[in-house]
Amino acid sequence: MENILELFQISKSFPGVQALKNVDFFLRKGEIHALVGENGAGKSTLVKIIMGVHQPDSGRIVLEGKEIKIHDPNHARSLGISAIHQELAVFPDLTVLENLFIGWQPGKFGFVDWKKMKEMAEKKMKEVGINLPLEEEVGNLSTAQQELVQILRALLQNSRIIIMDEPTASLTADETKILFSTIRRLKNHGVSVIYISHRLEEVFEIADNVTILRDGVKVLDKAVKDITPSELIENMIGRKLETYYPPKRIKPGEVMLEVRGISFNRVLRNISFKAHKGEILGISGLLGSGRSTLAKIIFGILKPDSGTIYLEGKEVKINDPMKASMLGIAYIPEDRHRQGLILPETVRFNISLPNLPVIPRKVLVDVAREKELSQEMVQKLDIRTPSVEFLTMNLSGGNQQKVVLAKWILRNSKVLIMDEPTQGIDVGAKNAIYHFMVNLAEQGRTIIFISSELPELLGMCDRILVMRKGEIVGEFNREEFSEDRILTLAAGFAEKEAVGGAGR
Amino acid sequence: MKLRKELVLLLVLVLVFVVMSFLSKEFLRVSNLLEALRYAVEIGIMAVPMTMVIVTAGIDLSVASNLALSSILMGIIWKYMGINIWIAGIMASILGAGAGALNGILITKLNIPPIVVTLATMAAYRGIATGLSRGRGITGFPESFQNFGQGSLGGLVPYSIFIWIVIAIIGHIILSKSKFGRYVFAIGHNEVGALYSTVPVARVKFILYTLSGLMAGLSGMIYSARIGASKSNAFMGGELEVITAVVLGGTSITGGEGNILGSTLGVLIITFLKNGLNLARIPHSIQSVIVGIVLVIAIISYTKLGVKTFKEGK
Amino acid sequence: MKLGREFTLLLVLVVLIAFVQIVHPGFLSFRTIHVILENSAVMLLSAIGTTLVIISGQIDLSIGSVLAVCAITSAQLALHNVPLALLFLWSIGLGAGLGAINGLVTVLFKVPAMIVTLAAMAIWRGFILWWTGGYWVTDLPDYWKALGSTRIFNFTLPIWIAFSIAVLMIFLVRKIRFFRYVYAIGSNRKAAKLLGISEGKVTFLVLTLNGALAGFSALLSASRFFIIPSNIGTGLELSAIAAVVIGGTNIMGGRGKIEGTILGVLLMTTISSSLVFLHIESVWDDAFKGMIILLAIISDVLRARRKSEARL
Repeated sequence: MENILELFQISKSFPGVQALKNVDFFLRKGEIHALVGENGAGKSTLVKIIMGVHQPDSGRIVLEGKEIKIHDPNHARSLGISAIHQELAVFPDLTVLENLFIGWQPGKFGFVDWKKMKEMAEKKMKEVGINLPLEEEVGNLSTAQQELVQILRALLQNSRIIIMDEPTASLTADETKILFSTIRRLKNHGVSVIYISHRLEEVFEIADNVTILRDGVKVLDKAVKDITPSELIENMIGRKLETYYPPKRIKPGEVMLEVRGISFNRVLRNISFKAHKGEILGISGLLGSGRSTLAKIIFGILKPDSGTIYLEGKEVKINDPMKASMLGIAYIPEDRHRQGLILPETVRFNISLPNLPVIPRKVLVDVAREKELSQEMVQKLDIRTPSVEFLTMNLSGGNQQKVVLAKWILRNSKVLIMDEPTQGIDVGAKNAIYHFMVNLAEQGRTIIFISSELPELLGMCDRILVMRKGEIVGEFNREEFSEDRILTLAAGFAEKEAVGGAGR
Repeated sequence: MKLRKELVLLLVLVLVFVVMSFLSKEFLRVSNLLEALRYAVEIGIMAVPMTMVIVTAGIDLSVASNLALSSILMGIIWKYMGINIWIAGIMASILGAGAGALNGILITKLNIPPIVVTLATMAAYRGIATGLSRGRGITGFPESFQNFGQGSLGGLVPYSIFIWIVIAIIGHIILSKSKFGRYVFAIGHNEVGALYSTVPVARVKFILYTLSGLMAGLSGMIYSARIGASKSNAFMGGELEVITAVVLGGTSITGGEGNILGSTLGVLIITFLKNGLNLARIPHSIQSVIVGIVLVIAIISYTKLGVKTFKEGK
Repeated sequence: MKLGREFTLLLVLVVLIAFVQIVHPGFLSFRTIHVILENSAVMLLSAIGTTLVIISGQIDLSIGSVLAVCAITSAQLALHNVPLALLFLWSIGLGAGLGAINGLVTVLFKVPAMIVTLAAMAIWRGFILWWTGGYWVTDLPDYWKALGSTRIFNFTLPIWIAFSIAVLMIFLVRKIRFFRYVYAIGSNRKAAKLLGISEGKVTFLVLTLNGALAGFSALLSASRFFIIPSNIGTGLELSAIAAVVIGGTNIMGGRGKIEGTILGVLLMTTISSSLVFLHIESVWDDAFKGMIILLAIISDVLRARRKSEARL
């Protein structure tokens, strides 16, 4: 099979960071090609170049044999390259049919030809085997269906290359299965898919080939059937698992937090577990929103339908985040920009916001003390900022995350729930975060570490809980850690299928 | 500079003074300036909570109607229930707070956008005021009461101004220096982020709308003292006057930015502008045009001032 | 249920009419119905324009003042016997022009339309008050009144014109690409940008259109009277927003139907007439309207709770 897309020696740098260096990337027709790498490895940049969002500093792009430049996303689309995002590119108030054609509706003189649109849509749906309710408002569809809408739209625009960036993050296991069978059907139609995911189990299930990036450089490009999970992980992080993550010198002690019988809506079912002082407890699994939902419940953002929470043996009712923080519970959220920070405000403002009830002086804020404390935090966490009066929106991702962490360290939190804490930050900052986590645990605090990146869970945690479909389906102690077992459990395969390279 | 906007406003105020003094020699008379302020008191007082409400990216369109309703209620309580006018006024202010609290509940518990809730209560409260008073005014308030609204300390400084000054100062301290004020700004920038940083979002918003109602009620009392009557058509269009002053003062309608000092300067600019134009015998209609133009120029310049790297400026 | 909002509104309307008819037979007379339709016709086009503006995610507070400027200047032209057709062109054109100014300032300076139109409202209202010196335009020629009093099948012209255009709009909004873009930018600004839809262009055009519709409404409204008060149109923008909200359009943008607005307008005018018949003094008009709006939005919210939690 020939290559439909070839990238030769692509380099790209941004102020302060070399995002990509001489990267080659080859995509065949009808191939499902996974692109993996740690946060900050350059996957996002590479894909944005293919989408026309960025221009490479050097290197060549060859599409179907012809060398080209991709000027902007519209141009990329006209060349047959589309991308699907999770929620970004759909209009929730408009129908599926309208979403498929918005911006390029067939029709003359400014009129919209609904009949033609319906015909085209139905024809394509039959062709590809996707079934969507055309008259339904997209906002009423599940995230999975919304992604299918985007895929269908890409196909209707005759895309030959579809880029999918973490498409399963909010999907249930069943929806993921449907997505995968759709992707396989795309393959049969000669459409190529670039599949970016942290979920290594998915890479093994769906991809034909995988390209691994690390620190902006391509390290490996191999057929999935020829690689093992450990080989994959080691190439991603550049060394053996054991040496990359800081070691923790203490063992977990007594129970700090206990959750019993928590259920919520249809998202969580009877969740029970214990977390100990000095422990880093990992939570892994396909169900992204299930894990975050659990965190939100413990932090008081959501109220569970049933279940109880105990802190140091005593039952507690957590009504809102204010109560949670008073009890010593902290949450470092998944969505750093929307949930984690007040971006248009200063570092000082952000660090002090949840701490205002405890910075002395009752009604008026003690600004001097505030400055002092936040400067302390900046130093302690090595936050690269000109001063505490700098606006957080101008900080890099890694430093922003440190500010988020600083808030709760200042609060002296006993239980810190960290939800995808290293998402979207560079390698140096990641390492720093790992060190903080270990430090905090060594101080006797409890860290609950939610992550989709298996390597970091394996490297950092004392125990890992695996969640699937709203339930805890497995628990591994450090001695029992095995990438293969965790992968298969998370993906829902039967135990016996587990072998390096997980079954198909 | 942190005070950049306020400095500009101060300059504008000075400019207004300069221009107005050319238009009429009466303008710069101290007695005129102080009397002009009398008419600004109600707007000035209501602008204080309105500033905070708008900083949270909300809005309260019901303030003028609330004022009217409180004014009528006070009149009714005094006249038909025989209660002392001052006590009646306080009761009515509390009822005004209740009206504001109703706004607050609908906004926080039912999550209805503030513009919609206060649009409805704007109509409802005005309507109830009209209905209760049967379109007629209530007059004949005791002298001491009217003296409070129409008289001046030392024959020069209107009594009601002091209330405004106190409220403005307290409001300023709360918004810019207290924990509560921080919460207000956080909510305006990013309500979700604020919640995750333990800000009691619903409680803060509820308090703000209740305060807005309280101030409207209080203003109703002052208004009636000033006019000598309670009328259901009091302050028609007043909500937009308050909002104009607040926006002119640099508060962003999209939330996250604003301060009481700016709003107060906004009120002053509009007040003296109108006063000066009045003295120059320029008709109300043109005054309205000029205020509108000033507002447009202000908002255009504010967006030009744009986003800064440091809170204080570049 | 697919029928949803419009069905509920129709139901409420029917129930209300039935109720009043029972309490006060004679309500359901031709006269009453005509009054209701006429009052609706006057507000209808402005309400439709407002619907589109709100769907696009903005608010226009200036239409009352724009209507005043258009109505009064047109009336003054009529005093000089300018032909009706030209008057229409003038009124609509002027309205469009004023709307375009709103649009330009909003788009070029990236200021929320609500504030721009707040200023515009003061400016145009002040201007027209100064222009007329507070005087009302009187002694209008016969052909002016003819517009407002000519009857076809016993219904006055403005009713026919307004409702036909309203029905036409239902169709156009469905079929014309521009209007689909209005929904798109209201529904998801970022996605619209990603797909190459120009938010600036759409916002500018929708504000211009709103102005034009206000200009149109001005003639339909003013033509009913022999004299034009200088404060005509005051409060129009808020009544329009109320009708639009009752009609089911979401104030945050992205969703709403012309059909809903039409029913919203009808409901509000019917309530006004009902209050008269029920001998409830007109002083209670606004109170009722306010409460109806509240009920409408509360019921909206109770039906749409699903999305709020996901947003956290």
